[in-house]
Amino acid sequence: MKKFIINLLVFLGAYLAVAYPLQWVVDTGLKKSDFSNEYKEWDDITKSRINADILIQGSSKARLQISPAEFEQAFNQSAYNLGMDGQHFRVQKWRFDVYLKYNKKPKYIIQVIALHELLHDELDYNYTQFIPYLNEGFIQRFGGHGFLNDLDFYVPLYKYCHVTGMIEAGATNFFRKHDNRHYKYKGFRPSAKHWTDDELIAFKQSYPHGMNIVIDHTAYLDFIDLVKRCKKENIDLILVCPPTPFVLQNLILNRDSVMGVYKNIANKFKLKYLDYSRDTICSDTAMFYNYDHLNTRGVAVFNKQLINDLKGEIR
Amino acid sequence: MLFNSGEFLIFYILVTSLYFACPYKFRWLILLAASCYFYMAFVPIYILILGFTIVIDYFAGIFIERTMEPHRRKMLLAASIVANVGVLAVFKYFNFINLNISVLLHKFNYHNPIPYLAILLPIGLSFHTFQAMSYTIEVYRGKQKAERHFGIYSLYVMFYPQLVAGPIERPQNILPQMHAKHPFDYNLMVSGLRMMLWGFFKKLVIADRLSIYVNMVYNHPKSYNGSEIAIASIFFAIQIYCDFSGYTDIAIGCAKTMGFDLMKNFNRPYFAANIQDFWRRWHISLSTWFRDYVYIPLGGSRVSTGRLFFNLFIVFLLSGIWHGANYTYVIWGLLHCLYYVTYLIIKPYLPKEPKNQTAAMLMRTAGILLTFALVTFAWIFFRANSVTDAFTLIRGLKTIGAKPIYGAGSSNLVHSLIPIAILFLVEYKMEYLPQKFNLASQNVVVKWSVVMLTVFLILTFGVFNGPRFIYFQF
Repeated sequence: MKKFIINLLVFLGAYLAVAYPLQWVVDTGLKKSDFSNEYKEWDDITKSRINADILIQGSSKARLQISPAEFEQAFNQSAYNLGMDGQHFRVQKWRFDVYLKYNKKPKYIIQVIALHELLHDELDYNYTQFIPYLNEGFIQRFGGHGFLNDLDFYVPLYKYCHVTGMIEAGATNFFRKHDNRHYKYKGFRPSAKHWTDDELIAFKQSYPHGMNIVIDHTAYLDFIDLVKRCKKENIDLILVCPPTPFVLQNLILNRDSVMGVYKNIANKFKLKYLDYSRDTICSDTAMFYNYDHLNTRGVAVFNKQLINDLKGEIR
Repeated sequence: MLFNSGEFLIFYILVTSLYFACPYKFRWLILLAASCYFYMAFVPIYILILGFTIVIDYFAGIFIERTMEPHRRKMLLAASIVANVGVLAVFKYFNFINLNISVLLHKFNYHNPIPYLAILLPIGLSFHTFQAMSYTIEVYRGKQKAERHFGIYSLYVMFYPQLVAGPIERPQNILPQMHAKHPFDYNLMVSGLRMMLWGFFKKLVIADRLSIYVNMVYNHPKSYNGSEIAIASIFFAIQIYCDFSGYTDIAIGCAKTMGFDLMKNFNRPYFAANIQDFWRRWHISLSTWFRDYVYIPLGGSRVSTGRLFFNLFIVFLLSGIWHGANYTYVIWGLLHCLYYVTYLIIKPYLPKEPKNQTAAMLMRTAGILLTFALVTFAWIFFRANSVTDAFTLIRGLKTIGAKPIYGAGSSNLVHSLIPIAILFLVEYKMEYLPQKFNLASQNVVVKWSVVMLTVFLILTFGVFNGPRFIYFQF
């Protein structure tokens, strides 16, 4: 039995000695790849390449709708869009914590708030973006790991089994020298698509009697925490509620009380609060490509308006 | 508890360590407790069903042995079989029979007053019931002494590696091993672990990967063209083999690490050159069970041709029903009966194996391909969700030339085909070149590299959230 135990330990040691370098190769390759549409931003964050004066935060409603280039031009300050596709506030705030670990604090944060921002969050959606960063340590600190389990963190190479093609993407991109991911500018990527009813119809089928939004208390406390932290660190936090088509807003039964939560926070902490959810643009579906997002045409109109409204605020 | 779960990994390490750490006389207790825990991890209350059959068969065995009078012995055996089959009938076939009664009565405008049972099928019920029955039958035949140690007998039925999906053991093989001392054996431990690893590879890397495509097509039979149905059916043939033989490899390997030698259940069935050969290689523990306890008592092959075909019909019908209470399994069994009978009829007219090696190889390859095609066709009924679906799929095969649109993605296709190629190479080597490249006789670098590569493939290409073992439902 002694021989078996010794051989087993030596085998495990040999396995780790091979597996960890292999994992490093795949992780490094993935970070350079576009296997997940968030790798570019994570790479920028963890390599301290952002250090923006104006940081735009939020979900896809930030990512697809607020242009850092236009902010840079208008205010002559560096800007970066950290909007995360499909993620609610807790994950956004958590990414902001990671951002601060590697980058200088911003002067301004444009926090995009939407009806669904304070919903319950797990690392379930688009979780491939986290895979190469599991060993950075910060993911363990997030309250729930969602789809990921302990084996992903502690058994080398196991984490790639969840998504087909990931290991190949990592291995092939490891040898790529140049970053040719040009489809976004500083995290921003608008959509040129035209409005279709399909997603709205699907939403109506899912919620035939309308939807009630339930605010997650932990997310709410996290939001307050961000506000307090910005106050303490002298970061100007600006809350922006972007345009949302009325056809969707009419389906949210407690829309006013959800927006009231943001309004109360803004009033209590004396924050700049810009609400575009009642603007005329919201009645024109030609400005949107689905029930939740503006298209390039709508983005141009909205950004012009937003920059104009922030002229006294951002100096 | 599933073999392909992290929970089982911990369970296995703990149980095996405890097993070797304990004095010999307590080891049966460790295994029995572990087996109870293992079984109760599914539906705890169902341990009572097992307990019921164990008690019945334990005492039946002792009384059969004690009784000299043939009629009483027969009655005791019948009581034991009725109890076992009764449990199967209630939990597995009651609703099926009831549904058929309802359909029949409905035709005559009558309402069936018998309610349906809202029960889950106990996991592996057909396996441990058959294993329990083989004990009383063997005691009755005088080929096995009745087991006096209640704990050991319970362990015979409940031994966790083969409790839920076999191999269906015979008492002559396993009971003496339960009494024997099994000191730690390095070679058994290593070869058992290797076997488990290969089982995990077959299950996680091949079977569960293929199941993604198979489920997609078989759950929406009208949505796919002939090529896609053909691919899905071939994939299912490989999936079910890798799923079941993967489970068996894990079970046999797991038992082997503790010094137990379970019977072989698969012998590279897709290398069978005819249907008779296939049934000598597929689910051996079940086919030999039917041979020993149904086919031979019916007269076997030493009867008239008509009677022989009738015997085969009964065996294949029972084999189909054994798999589940659904007409799809019945048709699957009867199709195999048809293949088998046809083969027996044409066998005398088939050409003798040519002396020329190339011609012999070509003939054998043709036989293998034809057998595989027939078996795969029968699997359509086995896998289809209903008989209607099966016929929809078969009708869909008319467009077999259509361009397949691989819905699960080309990356998934690559991930499916490469492991299949590995499986084919390994099985080809074992079938035709058994003496060449024997892993155990290689140097440590080669041995460890092969094992490490297998671990890498399992960890990175395995599907860990896949379905449970197909045969668990039986």
